[in-house]
Amino acid sequence: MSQPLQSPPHRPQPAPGRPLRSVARLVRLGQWRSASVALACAGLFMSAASLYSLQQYAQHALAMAAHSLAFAAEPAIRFRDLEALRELAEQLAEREQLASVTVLDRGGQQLLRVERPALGVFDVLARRVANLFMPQPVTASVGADVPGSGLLGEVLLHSDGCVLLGNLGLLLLALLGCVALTALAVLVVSRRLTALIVQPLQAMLELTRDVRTRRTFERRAAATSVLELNALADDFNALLAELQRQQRRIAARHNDLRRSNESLRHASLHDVLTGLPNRSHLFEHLSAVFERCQRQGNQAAVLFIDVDRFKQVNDTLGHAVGDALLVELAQRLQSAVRESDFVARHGGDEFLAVLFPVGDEAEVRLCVDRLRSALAQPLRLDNGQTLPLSVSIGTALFPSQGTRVDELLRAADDAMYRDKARSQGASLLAIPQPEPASA
Amino acid sequence: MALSGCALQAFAQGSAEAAAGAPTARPLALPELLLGILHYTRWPQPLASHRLCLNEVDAGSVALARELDAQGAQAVPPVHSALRNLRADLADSLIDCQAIYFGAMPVRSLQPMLLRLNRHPILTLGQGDDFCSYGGKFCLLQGAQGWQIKANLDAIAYSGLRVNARLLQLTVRPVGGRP
Repeated sequence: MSQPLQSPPHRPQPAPGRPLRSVARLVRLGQWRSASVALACAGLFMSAASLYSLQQYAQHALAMAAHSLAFAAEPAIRFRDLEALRELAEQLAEREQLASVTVLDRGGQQLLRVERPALGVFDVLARRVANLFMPQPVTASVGADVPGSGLLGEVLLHSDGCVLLGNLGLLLLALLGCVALTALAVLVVSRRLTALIVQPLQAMLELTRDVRTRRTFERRAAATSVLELNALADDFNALLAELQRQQRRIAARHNDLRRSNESLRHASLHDVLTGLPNRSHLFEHLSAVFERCQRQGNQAAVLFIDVDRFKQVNDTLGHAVGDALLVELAQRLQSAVRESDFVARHGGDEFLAVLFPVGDEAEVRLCVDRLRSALAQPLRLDNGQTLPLSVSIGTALFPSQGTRVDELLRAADDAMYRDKARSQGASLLAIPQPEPASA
Repeated sequence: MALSGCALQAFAQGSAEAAAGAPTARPLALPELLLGILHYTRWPQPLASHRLCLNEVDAGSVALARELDAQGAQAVPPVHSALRNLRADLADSLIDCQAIYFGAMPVRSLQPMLLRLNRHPILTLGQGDDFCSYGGKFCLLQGAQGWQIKANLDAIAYSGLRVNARLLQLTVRPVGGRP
């Protein structure tokens, strides 16, 4: 019934160069790919825009600082008050987080330069970032607010980049957060998609396997919430129903065949009239019994039974009575022998009984006497008449009188004829005259 | 008039205090100092040009006037110098001056004129501490480290002149030195 679950020879193979992958993996891969592209696009453009605006903002802030210094320091520059200028520049450098402040006079000569040393790794990194984003110093002219009076000098500022670096860090954090959020979303969505697609597929796979191995055609695929899978399940269920019907038809036909086979076999081994086993059945049985006797060292007896003057009954009372006589005798024979014994119709008015197992000849003789008395009961006919009966019985013993079927049958037959000859001398058949039917 | 409370010191210094490594700056000359103070001063009525009157009796006035005219032409509005007789009884004739530089004239005899001039929007400048004590508005002191300015805020406020706070801020120094 169940065949081994080996891959059938027609197993589909993927196209060369394309690895065999699960739906879950495909879903996850696809999700990752689209999410990565979206994230990369958004990240790239957003980062570029953010960096640009960050740079613009920093530049603007620096320009504001430069202008404020240029304005505040104008008198100090005009009167060359370097001490006041230094004070202003240092205050500004501290407040606006500048790397350096340089003040040039009208002739371009350096009046003052204030630098804030970089303290620690962060400062050094911040200065590199500032140099990268704003390599040129931001300048403001001193005295430009007074028209026509000419320029007094110039203020040059370099940012220390701390704010820039901080904002860059924030940007990076935001990007990382985006990546993490996207990863989470991909994970959740792909898991849900997988559950939606793979679980029904898995269930169907399990179902087909079960149907294939255990022939459980009555099982059905469950409905899913995916249209295509639902259609597949419907088709599959229809196919299963078809298979189930076919299976039932096959089973029914098989049953019929078995029954007719059985009846054919019964008919071939039994006599139609009496229902007793026929000759071929008898021979089979005899061979089997002899074999067992030989194996176990037992004895068996073959009894040849013939109805006396049966032809006469047939001729005078009709075939119906003859048949009824045979049926009655068959029944009596059957009920007179033991459970383990065997009775068959040999043909015509001859019956055969196989007694097995039997002890000695005395036991056989006892058996024969019992049979004889059972069969000698007069037969009561339908019309109320009684028909006296007598049978002749010949016995042959296995293995003392032969070890082959034909040998034993002949011996039994001979013995029966001797019995018949002896009894015919003693008792003449008295065919009862038909009596008027009693009212 | 209590000058000490409102007299402020300013140091208009040269290069003496320039930080190490910083290039030395040219020392500030008197014309620049005068024009600088004028630059931060506003008169009640806007004028097309400012007249800075000098003492015609002073020997150095002619050279100073030349330099002032040369540099003052670029100022907005332009500053022209004028040589006047700054005698005490001629105060009324000085009312058309927007600024008067008295130089190192003895101030004691000038006091009445300075007080009289304080009723008008006229910027009076002179050398020496006493100049402010006797009613002058800005007194310039030349020390070893360059020019030093004192301002008489009462006189400035009374005359109706307005001096840019950035200049005053520059002159404001807490007692006991710079932070």
